[in-house]
Amino acid sequence: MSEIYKPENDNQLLEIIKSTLADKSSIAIAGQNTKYGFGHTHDSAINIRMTSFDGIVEYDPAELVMRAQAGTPLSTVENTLAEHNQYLAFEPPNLGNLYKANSSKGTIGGAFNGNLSGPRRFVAGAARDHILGIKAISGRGEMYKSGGNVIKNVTGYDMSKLITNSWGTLSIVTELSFKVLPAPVLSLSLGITNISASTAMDLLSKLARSALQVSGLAFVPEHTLSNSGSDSLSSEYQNFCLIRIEGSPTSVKDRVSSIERLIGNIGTLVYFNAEESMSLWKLIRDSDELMSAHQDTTIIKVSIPPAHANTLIELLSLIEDCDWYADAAGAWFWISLKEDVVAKILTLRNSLLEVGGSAILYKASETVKKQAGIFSQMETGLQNLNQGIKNSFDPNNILNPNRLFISA
Amino acid sequence: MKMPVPDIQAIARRGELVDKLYLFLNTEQVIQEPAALRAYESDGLTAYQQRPLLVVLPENTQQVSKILKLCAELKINVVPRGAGTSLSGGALPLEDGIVLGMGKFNRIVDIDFENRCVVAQSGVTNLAITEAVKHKGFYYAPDPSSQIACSIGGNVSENSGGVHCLKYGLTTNNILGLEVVLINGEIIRLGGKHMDAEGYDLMGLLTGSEGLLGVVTEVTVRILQSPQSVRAMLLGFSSNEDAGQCVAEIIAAGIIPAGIEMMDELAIKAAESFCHAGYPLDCTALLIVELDGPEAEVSELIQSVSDIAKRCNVQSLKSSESDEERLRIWAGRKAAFPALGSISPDYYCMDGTIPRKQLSYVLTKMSALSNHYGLRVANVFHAGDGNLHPLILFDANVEGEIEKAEQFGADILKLCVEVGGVLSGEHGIGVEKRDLMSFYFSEEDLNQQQRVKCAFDPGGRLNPGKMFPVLHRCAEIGKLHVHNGKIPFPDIPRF
Repeated sequence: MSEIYKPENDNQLLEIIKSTLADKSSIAIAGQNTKYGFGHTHDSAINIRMTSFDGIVEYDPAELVMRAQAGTPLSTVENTLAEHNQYLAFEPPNLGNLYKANSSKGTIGGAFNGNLSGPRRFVAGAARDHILGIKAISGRGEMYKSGGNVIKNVTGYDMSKLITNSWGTLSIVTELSFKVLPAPVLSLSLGITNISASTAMDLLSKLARSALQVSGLAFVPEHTLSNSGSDSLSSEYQNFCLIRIEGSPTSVKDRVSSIERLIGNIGTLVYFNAEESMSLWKLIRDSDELMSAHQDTTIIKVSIPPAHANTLIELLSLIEDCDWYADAAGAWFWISLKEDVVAKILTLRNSLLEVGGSAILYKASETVKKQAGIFSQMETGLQNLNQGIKNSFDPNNILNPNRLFISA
Repeated sequence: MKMPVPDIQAIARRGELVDKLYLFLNTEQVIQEPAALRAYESDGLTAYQQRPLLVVLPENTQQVSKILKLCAELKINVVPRGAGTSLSGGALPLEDGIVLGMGKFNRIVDIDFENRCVVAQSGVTNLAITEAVKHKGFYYAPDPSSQIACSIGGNVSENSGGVHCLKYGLTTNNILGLEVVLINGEIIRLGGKHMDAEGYDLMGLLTGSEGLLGVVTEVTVRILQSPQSVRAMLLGFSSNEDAGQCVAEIIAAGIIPAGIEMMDELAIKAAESFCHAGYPLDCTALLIVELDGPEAEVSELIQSVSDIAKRCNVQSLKSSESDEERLRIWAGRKAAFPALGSISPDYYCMDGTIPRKQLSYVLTKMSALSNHYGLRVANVFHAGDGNLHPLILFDANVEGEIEKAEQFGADILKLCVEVGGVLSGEHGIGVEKRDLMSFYFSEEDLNQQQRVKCAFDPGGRLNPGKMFPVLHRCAEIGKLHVHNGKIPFPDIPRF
């Protein structure tokens, strides 16, 4: 029988962990559980929801640091920051729809535990680049802290970074400190339609290497747009390239002119105002609509050296029932697959062996996950280190067991 | 400061180690003569010296792997060393350990403009990376003040910063991949030229781990296109409060300058008489604000910062109109340490971080401490990110002054922690701040850090005596005590 607990303080969490250790049981740990679908099935007799750990503990906009309890809704954090014209520069996506959980963005603890990041990734980094400190309880039932509440800190190992991308498998984080930044005054976008994939990738690469400080560079091929049935983007936008420019109005205007000159007469230009731009980048950021998540597609996110983009696109064109789009100037590909997906995932992963890259399985049936693995096959040394890290925090494997790695 | 008691048996195995090293290394790669070893006796923290057992200079990753494996087998400690510029004693040798000098790892492996990255061996200097890519308008952002000498591998081990961290991040935010050799000889590759890694963020953990987890042999760094325009402003104030207020208001206005540096009266005067940078001498506090980006944006920002400075009672205000002027403004700040060195026989450079709003309180307290110890202190401050560098001036030839300076330094760092800051912003813990770790961390915090260490180096061979005040055996802290029987938890809300 499985029960859901909503502990309200550290002592209650400690009690649960100690009891779990004694019972040789395990815990499925979540915030709002919006990203349960990431990783292997990890049901447990005990389910913890961190939603009572709710509240911003410390926030002085001039310090550029916020400290919040882990279960604080991401929307609360973002709204509070917006009141002071600040934001989370790593642009955490809303994956609730991808996993058909709900349309909520989840909690701040979830965003950091999943090392989330959005289209600004190639200039602003991911959650890992913004975390400053944590308070947490390990799978040994010990409370500890790491890092601090200031921007620059090299006191002790950076264990906070280990927590990002750990998906609740190392510790139960109760509180986090993170870096916040002033939000751009103006954010708008240029679109280019009727552009070939290879021309688009070359253009995006050129922009990423320029001093024009663009903060979003994506490309959506026509088939992905039409197969998704998304009505957020006009069906006229065949083979669609999107460029985001942010900053003060003078600076944005100035750079838009430079970008227009750089584009020349490639494709057809479309201008998007702040509001249109925001909803387009949300579409790119959240991925569920373009990847037809509602159709039970298998979704994989590939991260590559951006110069490899055109080669990857050629490979993708040979895979049947495959939709994709590129983000972060071609360094990221969201890919949706149908039919015979395990073989296709293997093909993709093998293609990255030489050039280097990662291919993380974001959404799939448990059967596919078991056969393909959430991550690519790791070399033994690296696998041992990952296991060693897990053991050091959670030796009895009680926290989200098997979510990331199925233990032998 | 006490180092771990040397293992006499390990020292006795020196001859055996040398014989086995010669099986795969040339004679000049193993330094044994006392005179030659002297060059490695200390790093940038010159107050501490120790002659190492041997210095070994590998030429490639395979050799590093063999050396580490051999040391693990013979139970001999290893101190990795890049350029030896650490200010916290991170590369201080051990009597019973070898120094693994990475100086021969001096090759840039790959310059890849298409992927906006450079692959460099770990001994390549920080500045050499920028030098290698600047002809195409690129640069490597983190710029610690030792960048002409310090190695990129050392930067990774210390998570080095510099004056541009607020906008461009620390080393950890600017690297994409690492090749690391573990103590068992295993060669591990983390990341690459892509952004997202699979599994736990081991690259993030290794960055700033001070050579206690592995030896970095190769680093892939992100390079950035240089901004179109860079300008610096020199702002003089009659009080620290006004200068601090100006920094807070610049940031509250949504401006993230490329750098904001603050200098106090003593630092201003020393710098000006040392290199005549044109600093106003009637000021109590000086700010250097550097703004970069597209040209139109920078002119706009100069105007906004001027307006803010005026509201904060700025006394003198100057904006650079050329790169020459900008570099002249920076010259004084960059020469601040040697300048203070010229007015005092010795100085001790501290490195703590505080929440910016505590600046005025901390400076007042520091001046009280200065009176208490009878030692002068000058302050240069990375004001944007709250990283404080107090320089304590003393004379090592005066009996007891060095101890007094150290005690003063410790009090400053404790003060940083008391106001919500930390022990080190960018210089690392090393041996210098090791014994203060328990002032900031609880025993459970430190135990968890040491368990992480055990996952990499169960024998504790890599850089022992650094970072942790008390070394535990892995078996001892690895144990898990489980209560027997069920513990009910009736008070916790269930659903």
